Amino acid sequence: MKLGVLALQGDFSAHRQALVQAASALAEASEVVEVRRPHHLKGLDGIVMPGGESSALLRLMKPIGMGQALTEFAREGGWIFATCAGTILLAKRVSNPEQESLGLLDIEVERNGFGRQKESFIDSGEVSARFASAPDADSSPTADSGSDPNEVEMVFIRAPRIREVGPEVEVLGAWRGEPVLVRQGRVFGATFHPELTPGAPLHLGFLREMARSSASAQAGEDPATSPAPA
Amino acid sequence: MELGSLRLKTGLAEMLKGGVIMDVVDAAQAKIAEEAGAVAVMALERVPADIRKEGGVARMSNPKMIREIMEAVSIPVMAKCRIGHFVEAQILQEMGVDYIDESEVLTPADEVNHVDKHAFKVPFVCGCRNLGEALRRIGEGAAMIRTKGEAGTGDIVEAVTHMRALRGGIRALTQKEDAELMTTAKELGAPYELVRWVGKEGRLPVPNFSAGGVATPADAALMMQLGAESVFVGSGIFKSSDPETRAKAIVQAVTHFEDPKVLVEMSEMCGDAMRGIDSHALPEGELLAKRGW
Repeated sequence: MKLGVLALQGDFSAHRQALVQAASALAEASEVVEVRRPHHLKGLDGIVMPGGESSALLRLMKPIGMGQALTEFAREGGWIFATCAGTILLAKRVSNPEQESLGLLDIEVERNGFGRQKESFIDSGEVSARFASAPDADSSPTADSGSDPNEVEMVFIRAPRIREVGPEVEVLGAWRGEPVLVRQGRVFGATFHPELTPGAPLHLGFLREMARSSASAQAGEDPATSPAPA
Repeated sequence: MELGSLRLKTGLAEMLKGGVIMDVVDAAQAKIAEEAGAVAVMALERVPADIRKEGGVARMSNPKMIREIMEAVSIPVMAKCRIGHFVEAQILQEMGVDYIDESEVLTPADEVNHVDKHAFKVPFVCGCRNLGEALRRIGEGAAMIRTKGEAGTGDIVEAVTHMRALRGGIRALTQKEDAELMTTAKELGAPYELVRWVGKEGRLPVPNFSAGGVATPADAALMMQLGAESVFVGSGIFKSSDPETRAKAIVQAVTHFEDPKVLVEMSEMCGDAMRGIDSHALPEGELLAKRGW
């Protein structure tokens, strides 16, 4: 599969390493490229939108039409995994302060929801077992159904908080009962930084969902268009 | 729950990569910086060019002014304390600033010791002129390093010298045999464990930004191509003829630092740069980069 990392600003190099590591753990042949212009999206199966400063990212995306290009990429079936600032950019509504966004995830997000850097923290949270299981687990679509969620380290840095979740959005991960990892079809958003956790367990989950979907598409069904099994 | 750890401190620096951190002296300037796409602002009372001109003792800014800036923008706010002035640092930490710059731009409070940065939960950035100085600051707990350059001059030469010295020092370390590393640590005046780590990994263990003398989009792109991961711009923006346009142009130049077409466009967009001072014309006693060791 061909993957991209939006490389306008932020910790895109950490994401790039996480993707390379996850792809090799899945034994998926993959190529990871940096996306700085809309035409770099051409031919990609999926893209990661990194953490950074969302207000700066907006001002870098606008003059080159990157927001529109990402919206088209999603509409044409591209996969997106966004973290922190990336999730703010994808949300339907943004507060503290209000800010433009792409609306690809039906959530409302509050910027700097925990406060400033002194409120940044690392803690464990829960992620659906289907999404966060080890690389050697059975990767068939129903293998992990019904098992308990997995504990995953979550790094929150001046993190946003998800304040509302729309009906089409599935919550895949929670910290103290609060949604921190969500999915709507092929678009995923986390408010924390999985790229800063060694082993990149959630990048693995994202790539596995992509692989499962293309396997089912070959079998004549597409799980991304219907809710994933609980 | 983990709070104030080195991973969280360097983590914030990771998020600032590929961005521009701008010096601002009030809330209005901070808004202009945010609007232009700055990833953070540095709150200070006088930009380095004015400190040079007016002289006197340069200290931590008034907390009231820093708080006004914190309330005005949604991006991280940094502030400077004097080298070795750990009480100024305590005050800034208590106020909740997002990063402290233990800066040679202010008048040093201690001519021998820097702040013990491990004792703080707030992350610190420190300046360096070479690898030894960078590793001493990291040894003390700095979570981000910036090469010093010569602040307030608008002259890029010292920034280039320091970045080349740092990168060259790192490259040289990777060529050493293990048996040579203790002597190298002694020569660099740097902690042995950090010397070993850098020799093995070929990079600093914390993000490496550039500061001091950036005045144009081309200067910013030059520092990025030389290996900086982000750029601090001090007097360069608000001492120019059209700060809003220059701020925007430098932000775009840092993202597209390898795209000459963008660099032409951004250079054309700007009005007059700050006049600047040839840093070699400065008397020895006025060189800020010499402060700290």
